[in-house]
Amino acid sequence: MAFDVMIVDDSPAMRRFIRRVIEVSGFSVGRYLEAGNGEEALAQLEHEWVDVVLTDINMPQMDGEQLVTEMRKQEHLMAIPVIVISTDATEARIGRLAQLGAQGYVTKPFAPERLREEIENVLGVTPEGAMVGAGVGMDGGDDEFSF
Amino acid sequence: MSLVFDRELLSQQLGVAATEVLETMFFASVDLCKDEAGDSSGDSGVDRIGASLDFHGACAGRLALSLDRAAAEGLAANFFGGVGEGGPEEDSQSVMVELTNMVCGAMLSHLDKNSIFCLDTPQQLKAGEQVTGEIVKELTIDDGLLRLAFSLNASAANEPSGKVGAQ
Repeated sequence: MAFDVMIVDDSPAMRRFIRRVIEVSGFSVGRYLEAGNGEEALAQLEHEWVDVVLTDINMPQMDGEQLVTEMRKQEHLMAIPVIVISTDATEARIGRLAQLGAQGYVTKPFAPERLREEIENVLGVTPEGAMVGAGVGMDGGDDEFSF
Repeated sequence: MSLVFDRELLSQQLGVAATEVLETMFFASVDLCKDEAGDSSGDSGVDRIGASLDFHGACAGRLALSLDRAAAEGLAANFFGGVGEGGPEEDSQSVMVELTNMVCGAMLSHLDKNSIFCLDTPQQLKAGEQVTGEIVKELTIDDGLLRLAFSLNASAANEPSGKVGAQ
């Protein structure tokens, strides 16, 4: 099964890095959609469905918190899981994003394995196609892959 | 809200944050070089590129960093897994911007886990622009020298207590 992924970050370099991590992780990705901020993401999501949104927080025009808030308000978007990828590792910020409705949070810097684990948890499936039980934490990080 | 940090703690955290970012996301090997006074002597005579950003929140200030151009190209190749369509120059510039963003975020998160901060978009340093600040640190990464400078606004850096404060 191939997943469609949206990466929202104002840095093209970071979007490129995240895409590379996902590819190396072995997930079968159908389409990558990219947006430079929350507004662009919402505009694309008006007519595109994705299986997961990976978003930064600090972005111009519409930041990641506003994006999550808007997605949770809109019926056709509220089921799409959101993973936040941010340099902000403060408990205050992580708690706030969880309250707003983000399902995952990865702090930069992160090892590639960390992002893979979070995607596995949120999508409920490993790159190899095995199902991951809902609410079951990953043992994570012991199967290194070449990067 | 007022935060006051010990200068030694800031210097230590700057090194920890930079090392963590470089080793985790850039696959670089890092050696702590030295702390410096806030002058720019380490920048002279070397072709360097870098970036800086301002941050706000419970504390506000600026982080800047620069690196030898050749080493920056090496970091970029590690980060991206190769050279992009824009070539090594474009890659290394964008990587310095990302590095600045991540080091600053990591450092602020280490300093105060309970406050929310906001990072401005990093800006590339102009040609010849030097990296200066209250806390200056140098790290040897692979074949290059990374120079970092961190400053807090409303600073009390020169207080006899050795504390660095921010309002």
